[in-house]
Amino acid sequence: MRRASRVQDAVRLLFVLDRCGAQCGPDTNGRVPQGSVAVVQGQKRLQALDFWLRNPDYLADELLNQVENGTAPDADWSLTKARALLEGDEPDISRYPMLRWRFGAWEALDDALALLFSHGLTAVEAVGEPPAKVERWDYYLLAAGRDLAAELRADAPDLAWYDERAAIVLAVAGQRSGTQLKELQYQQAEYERTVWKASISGITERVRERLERISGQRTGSDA
Amino acid sequence: MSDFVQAVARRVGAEGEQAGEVLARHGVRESSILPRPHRLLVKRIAFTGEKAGKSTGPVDFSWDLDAGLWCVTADNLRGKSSILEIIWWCLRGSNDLQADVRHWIHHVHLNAQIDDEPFTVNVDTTGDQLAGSLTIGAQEYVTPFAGEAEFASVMGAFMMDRLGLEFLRGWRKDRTASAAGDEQDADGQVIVTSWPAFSHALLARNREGDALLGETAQGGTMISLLQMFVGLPWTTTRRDAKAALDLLQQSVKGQRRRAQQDLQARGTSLQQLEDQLARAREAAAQTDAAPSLEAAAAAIEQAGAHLAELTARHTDLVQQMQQTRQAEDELHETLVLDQARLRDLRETAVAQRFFGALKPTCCPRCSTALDQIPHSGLDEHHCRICGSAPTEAPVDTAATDDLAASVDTLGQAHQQAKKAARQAANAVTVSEAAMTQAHTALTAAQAAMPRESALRAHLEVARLEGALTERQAAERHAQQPQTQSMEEAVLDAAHKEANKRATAASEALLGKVSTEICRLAIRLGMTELQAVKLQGNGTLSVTKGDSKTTFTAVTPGEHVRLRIATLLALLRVGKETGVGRHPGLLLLDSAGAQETVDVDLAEVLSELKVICAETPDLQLITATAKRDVATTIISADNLKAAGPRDYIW
Repeated sequence: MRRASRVQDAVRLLFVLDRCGAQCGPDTNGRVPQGSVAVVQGQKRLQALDFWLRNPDYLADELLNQVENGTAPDADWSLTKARALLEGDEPDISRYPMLRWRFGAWEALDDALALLFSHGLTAVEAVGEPPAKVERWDYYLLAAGRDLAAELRADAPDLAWYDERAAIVLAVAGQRSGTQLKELQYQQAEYERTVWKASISGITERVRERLERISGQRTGSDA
Repeated sequence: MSDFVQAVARRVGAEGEQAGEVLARHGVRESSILPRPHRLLVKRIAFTGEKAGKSTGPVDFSWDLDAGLWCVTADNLRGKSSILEIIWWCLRGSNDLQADVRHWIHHVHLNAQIDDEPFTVNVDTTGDQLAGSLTIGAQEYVTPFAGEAEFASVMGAFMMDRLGLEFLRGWRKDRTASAAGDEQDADGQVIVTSWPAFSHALLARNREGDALLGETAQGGTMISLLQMFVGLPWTTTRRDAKAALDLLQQSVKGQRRRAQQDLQARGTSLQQLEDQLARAREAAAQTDAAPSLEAAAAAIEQAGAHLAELTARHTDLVQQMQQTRQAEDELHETLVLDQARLRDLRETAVAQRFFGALKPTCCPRCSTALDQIPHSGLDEHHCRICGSAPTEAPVDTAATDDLAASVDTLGQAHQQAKKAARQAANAVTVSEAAMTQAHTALTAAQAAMPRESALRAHLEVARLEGALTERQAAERHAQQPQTQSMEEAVLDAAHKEANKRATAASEALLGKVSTEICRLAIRLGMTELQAVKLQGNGTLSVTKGDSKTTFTAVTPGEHVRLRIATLLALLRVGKETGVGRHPGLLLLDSAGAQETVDVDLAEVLSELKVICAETPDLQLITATAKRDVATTIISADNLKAAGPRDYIW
């Protein structure tokens, strides 16, 4: 199974936090680390966002879901993005499969987060009574992290696609909770049927066919 | 060839041989020459028995006779008729005896002769059983018989042969059948006159009233008997021809009727058959015109071979396509893997460059600030967390470049493989189309195969031709024949010719007989009689008191006189002219039964006595109840008489 390098993982998470993190409000209870600019609350949400980013066919399928059920803000944009995601060998090249774990797709984040943390780019806060009773982990992007993301976006074309894709992931996920996203992802038969600890397989061909069908219907109805 | 056959042939305009053949085939005999007459004479009658009922006692009767007039006389119902009947029975072989006589008689013995040949009939009866023998000639050749049928058969054969009699064929129409249809269409059958019928010429009884001769006037019996008394030339031929003609016409008629029934029974008409035949001929012509079975088979074979060839080629192409696709898939897989690896390498390199340039601030595990950990004193190039020496070598881009080049190469190869796969798929599509076409061609060739062989079509034509011919023949039979067949014509001509000759021959003869009947009847007491005319068909017209009447219309007394006169006239004329064939024995029962005046019988008997004297070969045996008259006229030697109320035996 293909594994990304630690720095790739770090870059990916950095863009996820930068694009998908909620803007940090004023520090009301003294928990928000100093210099935080954005936050993703809960590991479940972070894992779910990461799953969509690294499995373009599932992301495209969710775009199509939104087109079909009418929740897409801009159907044409969704279709265009979906088509781009499925273009050529892109789904295979940009796919980094995940295991199915207890609550869905999962991968250990510690090494990548450690790299970001040690460089002062992110912060992680436990909600609850650590260390015994942690209810939730919140992932903060610090100002330095946002600066690095901006730098990478501008100066590293090889890494730019992470940023673009993270933007699509945000468009699909919005600010929904990790549990809501998990439920959504479980609606995929292939995802749901995958046995515990096994790699979740792709659905590229099926989604391609679906895209063609929906595109055909739309052009048909337009005409 | 005889004059008769030639005459017949001339009538129908045919060759004499042909006419002769037809006459021979139908057994039409020429009878211009009559066989000589034969003489039958009873010499002795004897019988024994046991009477039962009112009178009882043994019976033992015998009577020797010879030519001339003989008489048996007794009271009525005293057995005199039985004597005549027993004689007749022995000569005839057929049982005509009254039941009581048949019952008490045990043994009968008759001596007689035909010409100079003696014969003896012996009959024994026990209850209903009958056995006996016929002994012939001086050598006493014995023919035994048992049962009445055999007795009749033996006597019939003997009499017919010794008296030179021919079986006479005649035709009798089927009256019951004609009741429904018209007379013309009625069927009939050939009847043969043989000894039982001829034998009536020997006996004259007063019981029957309508017939001049024999028992009844029906079925040509009269003519047969007339023929026996005075052999009329050509009558046999005439009867033969008529019978044969009737039989033939009935056969034709039956054939026509059967054919008509046949035609009705068969559903199809001539027209239907002709239509069917026309269609069958058309079909046969089409099969002739259509490609031959061999050509069609060759075409199928060719199409099949072509299809097989294309199929093989298609299989190869499919295999080729699968191989190129597999090659493309493998190339693509490798390409994707390399592209992914290239991406990872590049991304990692870029990301490392950025991260390498950063200065960590704390330990990721414990968040301890780095300026507080042991390695904080090391220079800028060492890792401030783990203290490891800086990497000497710059980032090696060779691997990335190699991989990029490999990806390019693979990309091109993949494009080619893709093209090849597309071409292979196109080839398969083209081959599929060709195969479909070849399959269609094969199906067409199979469809073009002649459905029925030409042989079958011709057989059907032959069958229908046969059916049509048969049908036409049946129609011909069913139709009224336009003209007589040659057979019919010849037989018809033979009948007419024979009739002409018979009429010519019999006219003179019957004229003589008629004159003689008239003369004898007057002698027998019919003094008012003026003229009598006996016709060829056996009818007798009578003229008396200036008015014409017939035999059947005269009084019973005149009946007896006319009958006796006719019998005697026939015998006498036959004798005179040399054509008489009667054997000369006459049994006259109760000659005077109808008479109320004794003198009448005396007259009859006297005259009979004179006539017998005049006719040497005649034997007349009479029976009468007038004992006084008989004893007066007949000499005692020739008389068998019983006393008043006595039985004659």
